[in-house]
Amino acid sequence: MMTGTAMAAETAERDDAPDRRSLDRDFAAGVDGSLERLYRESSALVYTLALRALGDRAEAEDVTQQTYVAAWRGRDRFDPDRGSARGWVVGIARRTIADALEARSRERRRLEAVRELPVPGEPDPLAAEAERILVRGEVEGLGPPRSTIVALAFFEGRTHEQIATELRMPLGTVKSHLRRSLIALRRGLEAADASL
Amino acid sequence: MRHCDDEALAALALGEPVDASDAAHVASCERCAHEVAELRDLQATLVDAGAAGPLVAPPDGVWAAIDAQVASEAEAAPGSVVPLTAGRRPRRVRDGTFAGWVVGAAAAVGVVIGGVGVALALRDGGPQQQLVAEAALADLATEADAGTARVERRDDGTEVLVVDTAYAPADDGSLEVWLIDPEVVGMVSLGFLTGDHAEFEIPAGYDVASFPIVDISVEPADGDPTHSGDSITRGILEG
Repeated sequence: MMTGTAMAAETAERDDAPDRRSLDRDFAAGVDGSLERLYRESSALVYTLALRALGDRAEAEDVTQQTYVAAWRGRDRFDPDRGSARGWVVGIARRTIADALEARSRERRRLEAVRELPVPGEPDPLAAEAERILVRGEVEGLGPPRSTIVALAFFEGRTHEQIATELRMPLGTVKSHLRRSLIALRRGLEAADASL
Repeated sequence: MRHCDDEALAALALGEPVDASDAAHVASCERCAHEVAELRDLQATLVDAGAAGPLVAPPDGVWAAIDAQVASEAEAAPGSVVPLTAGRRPRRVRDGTFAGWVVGAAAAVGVVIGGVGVALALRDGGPQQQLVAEAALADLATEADAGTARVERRDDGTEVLVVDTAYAPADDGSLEVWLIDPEVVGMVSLGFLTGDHAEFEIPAGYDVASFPIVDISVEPADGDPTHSGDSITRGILEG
């Protein structure tokens, strides 16, 4: 958890992270190091999605690796004007996870020598959890101090006054960060939905 | 009529005091009231997301593996989206099994591996043919379904790769059909694709178990008989 104070005033006016947009453009252009930057920014989200869906560390690591390799190979198809690289990578991750689950059930069917047809329209029990993980990913993507403030306010249920005290930040600054975070999260989640 | 700005809408959603003009506007503006409601819903979504627990970072080795894989592919075929080592390089040892790679490759391009029964009689009349293996083909650029490839065994024992795909001539070369091994190192060219349906006799000594990847590449007319590295369609044969 971040508990510093100095950056609060400096970043209070920042709206969208300019880093993210430059990353999107760099990634689309295949700039050296952009895959690593994208990985640093989004791999916890991808790995957590895979881990929760597959329940197996080794498989989650494989899926994470496949996802970023596929993202890099296919970067020509990524259009930074239509969404973020992060959202795009999450879309690839979800398909890769679905493929891994499908391969697993195929293997099970083969072992059982019974061909079960999938039940149509069955709700995906992992979908709700995946949505929560995506939301947490968007919150982390806000970067400090906003990610910390939003986590304290909504995940841990602290009051704005408690957050101000804990982070040694003026109450007005905490509230300003929360307002801007809500706006940024709304846009980010819309974009994430659009890119899936 | 001027709508409230984002800050005012967020303040209202958070239950903070706002200017009287903003408060009055939201009371009478459906659009701004809807925005506030959405931002309130978002707060509920955030509280709910707290139940998911924090994100877990992958172990350090994962990035190293990605970096190594991407670097080796870039070295093999610079500038290519789906690079191949094309038999020009020494075999490299990768982590994991060949089978794992194939499943991974299939997942990466969205290939559906179709298991099929062996020894299906395919056609009435004409020579009887046995279906040895089949692959669903996928367009590597769009991951869309791109037809099928089947290996059939003729009465005389020869095996034939039958490709059915929506043929579109490439601007920058001819389409060449290959069988490739799971390491994407060894490969054999079967010939050029010139229509939606094509049949290629598989040279003796090559079997689909050892060369299960069906690959269609764009080959420039440069006299170089090796794979260009510019693959457009792939599938994995399964029998």
